[in-house]
Amino acid sequence: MAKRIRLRWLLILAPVSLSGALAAAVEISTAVESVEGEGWHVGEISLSMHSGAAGMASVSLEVGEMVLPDGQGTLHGVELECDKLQQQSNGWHCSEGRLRAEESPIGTQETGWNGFFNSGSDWQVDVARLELAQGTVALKLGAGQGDLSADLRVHRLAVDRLAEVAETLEPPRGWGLKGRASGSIKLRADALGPKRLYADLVLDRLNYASPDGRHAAENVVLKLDASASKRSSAWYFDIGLVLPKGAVYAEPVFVDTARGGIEAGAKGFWDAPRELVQLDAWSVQFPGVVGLSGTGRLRGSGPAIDDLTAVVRSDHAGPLYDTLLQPFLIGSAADDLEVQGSVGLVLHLDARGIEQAGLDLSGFVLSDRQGRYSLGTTDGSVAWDRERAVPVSRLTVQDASVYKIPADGFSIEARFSGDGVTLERPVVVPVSGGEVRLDSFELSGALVSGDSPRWTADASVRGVSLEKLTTALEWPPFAGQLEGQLRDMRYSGELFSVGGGLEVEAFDGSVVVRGLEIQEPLGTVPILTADAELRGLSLLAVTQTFSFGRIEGRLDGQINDIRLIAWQPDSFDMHLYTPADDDLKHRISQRAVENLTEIGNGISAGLSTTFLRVFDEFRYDRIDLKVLLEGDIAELDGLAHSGGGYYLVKGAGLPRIDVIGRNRSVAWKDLVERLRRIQVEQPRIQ
Amino acid sequence: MIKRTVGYPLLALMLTACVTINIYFPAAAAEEAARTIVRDVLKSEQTEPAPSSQEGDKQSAWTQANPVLVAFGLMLEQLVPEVQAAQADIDINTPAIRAIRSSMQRRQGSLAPFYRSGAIGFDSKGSVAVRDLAAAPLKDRNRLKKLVADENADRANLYREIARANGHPEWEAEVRATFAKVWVQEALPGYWYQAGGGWRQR
Repeated sequence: MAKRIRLRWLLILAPVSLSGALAAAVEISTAVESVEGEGWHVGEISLSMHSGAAGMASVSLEVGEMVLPDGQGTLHGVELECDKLQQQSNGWHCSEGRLRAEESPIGTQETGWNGFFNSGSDWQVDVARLELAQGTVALKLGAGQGDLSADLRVHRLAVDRLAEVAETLEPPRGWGLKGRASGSIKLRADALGPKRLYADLVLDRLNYASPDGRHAAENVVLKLDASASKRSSAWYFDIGLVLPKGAVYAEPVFVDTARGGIEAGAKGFWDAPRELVQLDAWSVQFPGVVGLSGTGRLRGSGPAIDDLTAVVRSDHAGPLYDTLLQPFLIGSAADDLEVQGSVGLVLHLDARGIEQAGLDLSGFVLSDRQGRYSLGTTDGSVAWDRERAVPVSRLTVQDASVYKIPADGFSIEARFSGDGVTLERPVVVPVSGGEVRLDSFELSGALVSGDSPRWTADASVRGVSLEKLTTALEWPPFAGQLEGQLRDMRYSGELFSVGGGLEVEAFDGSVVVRGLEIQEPLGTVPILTADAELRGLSLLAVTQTFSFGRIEGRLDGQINDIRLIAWQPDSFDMHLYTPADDDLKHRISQRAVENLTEIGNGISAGLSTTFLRVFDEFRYDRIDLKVLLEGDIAELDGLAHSGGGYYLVKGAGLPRIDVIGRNRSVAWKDLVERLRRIQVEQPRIQ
Repeated sequence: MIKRTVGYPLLALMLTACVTINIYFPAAAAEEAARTIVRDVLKSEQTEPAPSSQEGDKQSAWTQANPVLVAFGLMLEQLVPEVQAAQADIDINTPAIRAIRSSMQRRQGSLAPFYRSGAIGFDSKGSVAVRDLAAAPLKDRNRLKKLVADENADRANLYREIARANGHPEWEAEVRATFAKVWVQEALPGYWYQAGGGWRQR
């Protein structure tokens, strides 16, 4: 660095002995016009020394202007004085010095100082109090035994004002920042540069906020206890952070200290030339929520994860979900859960992401607050590996539910590997007196970030009580059992479909459901579409179930274009009819006639007031009912009747009775009310 | 004769060629339907519906108008309903729409404080947007984000269902645009809305 010294004048008032003690009164005054270097400048320098007694002296240094390098500011009117400069065996000591600066980057300063000077490698200056950023700083600088040292004690420095002093402390543009910093920083250096650093700092009343509100803190107290030492090219560090008070929001995570102070720590080294951060141990403790710990290695200027192991342990799965999981699930079907139990998770990440994971659940309970699904007490473990084969994972579930359909306990044995899940053995879920057997299940996309989960499965249904099932769904109760196959079930893009169709054995016949699709099954408005075909249903079984009155015979039918929205019928095209080849007796009771008449016309047939009341039942030729629902309106129809209207029941024999519908258009809610009224009047479930 | 031979088929062809049935988006009916729904949702947070200044203005205009104009207006009033009756109506009374409206009504009470604080507002696309997250307390910011996500999911379903329930799924974008306008028009005092690329407060 080029340095230039310009002497304006030099005046010696008395002889000087510089080799030993001041033997007599000596006064020296000298002045230097300026000393300049690259980027800095010191001007109007005057130095005066006075020695009145042996070994005692006073010294005064005045600097008119001092321009600091790298644009760090300018000082004016700097005065450094020591009235009691004393020579001791190890050099000159000042016990009562004063330092003044009329102007400086940190404002006007006036403080006392003490120190000693023995040589360029053995000296110390202790500045008692500097005014900085609305707080104070005590500074001790020194050199000894080949080391340079700087000890800084700060008290209640305003962090927002610090940013005005040091650009590196300036928050991002637009951020609001308030708070105070207190504590100490100790730095040791040698000829090669800094070699040790200690920091014991407390930030209190810390508040910050980004302009977009995505990052903020309120009334935070943060304690930092850090030490670092340099060996070779690496800094070895041991850092501890405690957040005993306050709340922090870092989108999307919000943490506060309502359950206790949050603690974090890390030990390891940072090798700048190799762009390597090695974490021998790290931990984060959220009291009452979760504890995390592990090791890791980061590389690059980023730096990015090269190798990281994380052990997560929580006996408070509810707060863990609320604090650290739910924020990432907002907008999904899992963003409104109530969770309990214990969770353990081990993760190993490499540069490509998660490589291995192990999940351990104990007494884990999960339920959707919107009542869509739940998982009762669940225990077990899940092992997953990105590429390699893994041991079988086992989970036992005490009970579960999907919407209002309850299921009893079941267990899952599966292998979780790569992008999928493979069942080790079928999962048998007891449902409503029967079982749903999941024969195969393949999941993909769930473990790949940015991908949407999709799965395929095959299942069968055996012996499920329709009565229990329909009661659980708060539908009109059916009797009988549900048997069937659910082949080629798929879920992708929020669309659930059963490609292979569903066959339900019911009412001594069968119902075949095809094209079953449910859009957004866990959304606000699930939309179900399907076609159904009824084959050879026993009307006797049907009417006994629905307390409709007695009808004998078989019934075929199609229900096409079924569309349920939010599980409510929105549209369908139904045609129920007596099959042409039906060989059963065709009989209909008086009560059934009355009810069919009410459905078709909204009023009772009134048979009980006629002579027909003496007949319990009648013969019929055919039954035919068509209902076309579109929104709120149902269009009714049946067999063509020459006298207007339509046959719902075309009678046969004597006494012959026909049920002829006259109303072709009826409000759906009225039709439902008619059916409900019939049910309520004659509850007779078998 | 030649003229007839050639002219009549040509005339017939022209006539038949001109028979085109266009089903236009029923903007007025859709706006009326949107206003019904929007008012219904917004009033879920208040005890009394906001008074309609437009009605008051209309009434005062009638009372001050020229008697001849009044008579003409009354005549129009007799005619207009028939014309309107011939227009396409918008059905908003389906199970799905009722379910969505109910869901939105239940949520409105939770959203209202955030509308009033300016944390959220109506955007120009018929959705709710986060305007100033900093206006929400830290602990409420994730709850707000969930409320907004749920509300926008409901609104998207609502617009889709109204279009579908009326037999024209392709009207979804127009339904959404209609609602976007009505949400802003019906915004309660203190609510924020997007206009001209910026935010304004009602």
